[in-house]
Amino acid sequence: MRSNTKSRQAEYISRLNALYSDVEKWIEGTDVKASRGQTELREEIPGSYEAPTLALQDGQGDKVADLLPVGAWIIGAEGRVDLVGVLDRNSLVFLRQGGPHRKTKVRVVGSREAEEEWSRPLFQGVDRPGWYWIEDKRLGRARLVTKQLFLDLLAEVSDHVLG
Amino acid sequence: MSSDNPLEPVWRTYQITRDCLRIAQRTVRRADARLLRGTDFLGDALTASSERIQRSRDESDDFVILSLWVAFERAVLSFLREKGRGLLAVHPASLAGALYGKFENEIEYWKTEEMLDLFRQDLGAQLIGDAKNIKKHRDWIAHRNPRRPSPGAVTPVFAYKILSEVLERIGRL
Repeated sequence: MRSNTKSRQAEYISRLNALYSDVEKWIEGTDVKASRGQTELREEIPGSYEAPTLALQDGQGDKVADLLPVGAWIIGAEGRVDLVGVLDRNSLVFLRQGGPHRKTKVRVVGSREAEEEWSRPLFQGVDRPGWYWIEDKRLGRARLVTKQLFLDLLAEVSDHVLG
Repeated sequence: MSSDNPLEPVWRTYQITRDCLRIAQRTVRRADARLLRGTDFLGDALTASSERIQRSRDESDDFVILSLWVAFERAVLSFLREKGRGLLAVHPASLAGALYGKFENEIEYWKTEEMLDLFRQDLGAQLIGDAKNIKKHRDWIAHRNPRRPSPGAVTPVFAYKILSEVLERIGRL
């Protein structure tokens, strides 16, 4: 495996672990408990590899939601993990500062023809690297996953009221 | 995104499907017999019903990418067809008709990747590359072979945004 492939995969796993550590802190003091596991991912570029998962259960041991990694080679992002609840699922993607940009050349027609290159972000709101949730009802807006947002997304995918 | 975006009806249907599946999942989990009347869920085991809805939810993410691609491809083709009408202005007129006829007959068989390459200079390699990667993912969904790993997943919202961006920029050419 090429070294940049290996480092992207390692970076993805490290970012997943960092997200899970945040989630474990965010649910402290609630009735939801977290437990880590492993799953096998198969992607075209790196092949098969193990990636960590995080299961969230209520006080009775029933599933509230799982954080399931999807892959490090994601179109437009540098990794994806899905929050899969009993009711629905939401995708979280890792974006670099500024998020994905689209560069384009524009021909300026005037007294002198020229080409200008400009670039614009695909999503607004990516002001630092991190895990983001893309609001698909207000397209174009990416929201950094914070404690409050995570708890809201958890409630949305599970209907679980945090105790 | 503008309301004349040909991908918007597909996107709206996907949003509604997702909401309906959420409502269905909630109804099944509450075992609300009144609301489940007249459906296959009534009398089925809760877990089995819940799993079937969850599978449908997962598949709706795949279906929306297939549908977005169909609408996208149709819009690109229609744009190129319109541009191709310029061939009718070629001189001599006897050549124009034959040339346009050949173009019209053959454009249906052009590969989408080749059509996208025509826009590389105006739209940039990155955007065209992303659109092609969505096509690869679309093909993987359509001809799913469990032994072949995903060539690079795309979330529905990214597919919608990237393909809409391509169409918007093509529309400005």
